[in-house]
Amino acid sequence: MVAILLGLAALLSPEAGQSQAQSPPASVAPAPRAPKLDPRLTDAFRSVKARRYEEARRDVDVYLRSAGAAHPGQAHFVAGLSYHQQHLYESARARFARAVDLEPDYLTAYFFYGFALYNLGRLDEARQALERYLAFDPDAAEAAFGLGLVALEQDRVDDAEGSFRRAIALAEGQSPGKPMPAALREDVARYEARLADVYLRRDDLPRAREALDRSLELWPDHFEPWHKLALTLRRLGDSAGADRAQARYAEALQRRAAGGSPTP
Amino acid sequence: MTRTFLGLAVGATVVAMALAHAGLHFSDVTARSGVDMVITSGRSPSTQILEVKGGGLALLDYDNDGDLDLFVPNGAYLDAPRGGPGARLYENDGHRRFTDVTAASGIDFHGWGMGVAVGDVDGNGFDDIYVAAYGPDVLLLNDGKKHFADATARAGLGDPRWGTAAAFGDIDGDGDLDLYVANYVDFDAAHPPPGRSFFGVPVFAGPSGLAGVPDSLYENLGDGRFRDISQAAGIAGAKPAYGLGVVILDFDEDSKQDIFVGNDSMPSCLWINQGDRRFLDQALRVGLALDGDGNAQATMGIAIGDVNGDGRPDVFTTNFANDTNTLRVSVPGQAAWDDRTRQYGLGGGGRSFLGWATMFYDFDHDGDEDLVVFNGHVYPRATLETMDSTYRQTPLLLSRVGPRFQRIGAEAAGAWLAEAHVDRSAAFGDLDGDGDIDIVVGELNGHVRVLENDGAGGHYLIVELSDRRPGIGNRHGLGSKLVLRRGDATDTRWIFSGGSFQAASAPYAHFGLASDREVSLDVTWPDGRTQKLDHVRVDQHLIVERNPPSS
Repeated sequence: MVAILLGLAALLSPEAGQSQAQSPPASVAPAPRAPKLDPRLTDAFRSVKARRYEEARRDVDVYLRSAGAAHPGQAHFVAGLSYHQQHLYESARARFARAVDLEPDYLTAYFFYGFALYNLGRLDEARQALERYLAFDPDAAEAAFGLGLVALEQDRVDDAEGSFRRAIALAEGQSPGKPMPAALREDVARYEARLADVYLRRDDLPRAREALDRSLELWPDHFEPWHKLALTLRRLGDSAGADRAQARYAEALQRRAAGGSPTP
Repeated sequence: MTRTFLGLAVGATVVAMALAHAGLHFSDVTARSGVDMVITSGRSPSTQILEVKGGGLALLDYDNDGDLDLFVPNGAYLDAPRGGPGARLYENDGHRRFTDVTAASGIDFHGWGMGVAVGDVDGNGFDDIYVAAYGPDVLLLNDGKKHFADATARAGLGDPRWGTAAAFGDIDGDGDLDLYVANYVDFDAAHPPPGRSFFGVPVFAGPSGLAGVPDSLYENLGDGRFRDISQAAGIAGAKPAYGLGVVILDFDEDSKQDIFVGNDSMPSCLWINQGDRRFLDQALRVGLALDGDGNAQATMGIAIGDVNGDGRPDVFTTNFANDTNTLRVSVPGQAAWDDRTRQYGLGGGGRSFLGWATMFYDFDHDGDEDLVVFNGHVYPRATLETMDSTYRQTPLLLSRVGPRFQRIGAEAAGAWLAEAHVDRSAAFGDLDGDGDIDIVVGELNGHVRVLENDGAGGHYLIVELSDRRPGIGNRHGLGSKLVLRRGDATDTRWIFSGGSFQAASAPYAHFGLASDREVSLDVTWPDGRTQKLDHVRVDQHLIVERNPPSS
């Protein structure tokens, strides 16, 4: 399970997301009591990882039609994951719903189910799914982050702040006393960028600026916080700083468009 | 409705209306309206980007009889872009019954019409029509005798590039109406570029990969001619973009008209008027170019309203599927806007919709502005399975409930609004004189629909401006701001050209009022001159004459 989920972490890179700050998760901690993925679904999962989504779904269908399909819920999860990676959230949601219905103990499905529901604007259900996941895996920073996104969308600003702070603390706690690996730095950077959204919502510009500065220190090529920082500095009256941030935003965006990877 | 001129009733047609529905509700009354028209836009299903932009609509009182008539520019065909079935003009009898008067009107436009702008460009007291088109744009001058003449060539207009939207405004403060045209891409219908892939599905090309076309700004010279001042104004020097929408309004409240342009997949522009017919794009600096995360969006439709109640214009734009529509709210005390889409409940629920026409109005007369968005995909093969979005989509009718907008259930909003269509343009105005806002909607290769607002209760006030000074073409005060005061509360509206999508809506401000019977009004005309009216009774269509300078 751990190996599979580590593979998942690489698969769900920020580049796959529409928005770096609320993209599908970049790292997923394994749920401690989640059952292992049926080895007969490993090939399908690897196909997802290799972006061969149709092939993955064909493998899942073969599995579901076979006599020894002991984990149909997991099969639907893998199929759902294939859709999720394509940003086909309605199809993903339907498969994840089948997954949690058939195998409620397969907790990883709740995590992705929550994000699919979030992307479809089904916020109450997204909250329930992510809370369910967090109940079993309270150390899952990304799930806490997801709850923050839902709260922000629902204008529960205090809850959003709490969730983002929790996500930051959990992520930072994964690397105590050591430099954070690049992927973790990017995760924390995304959380800080959304924490800044909380402060912007409150028109608390100094704290928004602090959060954006922290985010950009961790991930200088993340274009979203540069854009937010430029607007924030301009509202604070720092035109020169805003111009510099705007230039950094343009550079980061250009690198992203060119397909270059961010430098942590 | 009681129609009042400077507070004196000139008509006393009070329409008593038995409300069949309370709240936000519209009924499709097309069959009873006399409007029987299918908009042509190439083939169906669409095969090229040219075919998916729909085609505009305009509500204008072309005969000055006090009601809104309907103009539809209509589209054409890929193999005959200038040989379409032709534009149509429908005359309203005042009770929302329309008669096709195209032939008698002299309108003979068979090009591929897109955006429409309406204004009295020659100052003769009658509204004229400008059509931005694929192919030469046209200016149709209204002679005041229910007849239009094609004055394009004489006016020095007729840009052959693909124009998608147009708006009138007095950008130089001389009292006549200048013209902005948003242009889209360089596209040859006879030699369309090869298609591409979207979500792994083969689709037609564009706009990415196609060359953008610079927009155009024309100064009205006051003698029937326009002069292209795009270069001198700074507009032509901008990076060519895929323009889809435009609104002319004084965004920074310096008594000079600015220009907001929505660009497809590229940063939008806010051309701030520097005076002397020069403009600077400040959109990036003020927060109107991108969404709050720094992403360029598709920006089809534009709605202007005062969502946060600070008396300054907030900007709502509709976008492609797999993205949200975006609400940028003015920052108090600054010429800046902040993306507050999520705060106002307009985020995630919109991701499966591909939005086009949109506008804020207090449709149900409960005292706050609601929001409507008409939707429909561009790719006929769009399904939830292939693109996480469907080809046909229901409109979104969003009611303002406290601090957020809430979607009205499709069934509650009316049968037609519960159905999925491939909608594009929509124009707004009171078609039947009952004081609420009705809607005309155009569907891609589908019928023009007339939607009657039959849910509004409460009270209303329609305010139309009239500037009849000699030589003034901007009779309706396009670009004006109106503040209604009711006790300690205020409601702000703007009268402007452009917005929605490719449409010209009624050139007046509409206020819904839950219970107030008397209000006061502050009018700020486009040149900054202010005018105050006290003790204005509600439930009327008020025409406010601009005070002469000495008064």
